[in-house]
Amino acid sequence: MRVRTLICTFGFNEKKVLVAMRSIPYSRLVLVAGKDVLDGAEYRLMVALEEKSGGTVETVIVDPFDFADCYDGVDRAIRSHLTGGDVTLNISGGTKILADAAILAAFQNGVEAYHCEESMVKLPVMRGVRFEDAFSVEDVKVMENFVEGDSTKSIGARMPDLSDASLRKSLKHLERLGVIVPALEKGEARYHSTPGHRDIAALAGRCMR
Amino acid sequence: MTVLFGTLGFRSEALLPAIKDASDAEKVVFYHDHHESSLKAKSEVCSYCEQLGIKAVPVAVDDAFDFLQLAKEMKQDIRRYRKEGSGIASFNIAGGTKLMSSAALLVSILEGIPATYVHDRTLQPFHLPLLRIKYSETLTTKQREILRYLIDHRDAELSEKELADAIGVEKATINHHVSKLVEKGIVTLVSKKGDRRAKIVKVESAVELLLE
Repeated sequence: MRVRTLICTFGFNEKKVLVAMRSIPYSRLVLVAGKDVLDGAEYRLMVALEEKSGGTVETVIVDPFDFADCYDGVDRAIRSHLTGGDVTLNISGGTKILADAAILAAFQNGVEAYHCEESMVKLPVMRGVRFEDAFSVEDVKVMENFVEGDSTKSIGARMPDLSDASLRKSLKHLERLGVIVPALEKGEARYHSTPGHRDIAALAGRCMR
Repeated sequence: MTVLFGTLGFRSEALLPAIKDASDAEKVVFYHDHHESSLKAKSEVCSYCEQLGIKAVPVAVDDAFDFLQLAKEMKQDIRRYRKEGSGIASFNIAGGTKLMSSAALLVSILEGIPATYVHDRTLQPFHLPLLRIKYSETLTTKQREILRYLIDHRDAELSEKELADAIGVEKATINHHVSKLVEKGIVTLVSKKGDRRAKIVKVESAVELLLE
């Protein structure tokens, strides 16, 4: 039987998570929260409630004001529980930055996401459509070999096994995805990472996981 | 013309650093609600833009918690500006309600717009690592046709047989495609009122955003 995991962003208001716990079926609860939350009565209440119903709470600690840390925490939680199970995300608790990072992780991992407060809003995520699926094997290779300011010629020289047509296709695709952007420099098109993707090698690494 | 988009809540500080950061922006389109504090923040943003010679376009939203309506409005506006020949600098999603911010994030992913977030404490804008996802490309032509029909007839209680007849395909074909759409979580099969054995095909809310 597949385990159903509910991952909730959590702050100092337990009510926002309780609505999700009542509305979304789950067998395992994961809370993503800032360190300070662990000392609060609200967190203790959540743990006590789960224990009474025979469950446990897994807690992922993040800096709730650091987008990258929030994203990594939620992404890790999603990926670890997706193996052999189903994951649902609720973003109603915690800081807005944590919620936004969680939504991004949900979109990019293709898991269902909800905002449960007075009403339950299901966000339009297509289950199973992951960000890795957007990249071909060639795209990942190009990202691994990419150096800031590369021209088609310079990156092609480092990837002799890749045909010119495949290289151009990958560069065009990465540009369309918003990973790189071309700029005309001294009469030649040179590629740069976009501000949101300064670490392209890390992005390639995530695709390999 | 380069346009910066943004969401605004009670604090103008959640948007002003993004305006400062987008040095090429000539126009700022921002969404706010009718709350007194939001209106005050709106005035501050307008005043800031006026001083810098940037055109401010505040857009009052009816319901800052209506995710679908917010996302639709933002998407339409972006497409309209693009059609008129404007470039989009980025979308700052730091202000407003969580659902307002979520709607802006989704629209940025769907439309391929860079998104920024002004940090609550440092007030520094940072760029979010978004990838443009074209969800409609992950569906077959027939699946898109089925979804479009279901969205256009959202209130109709259609069984798979009725859906097959409406679209003009065999029931087995509909059954195959509906199963795939259920797997993707964008369609559900629910029992019909008064006849629990009969199943009707329901499309999930906001799916239309992923199709266009």
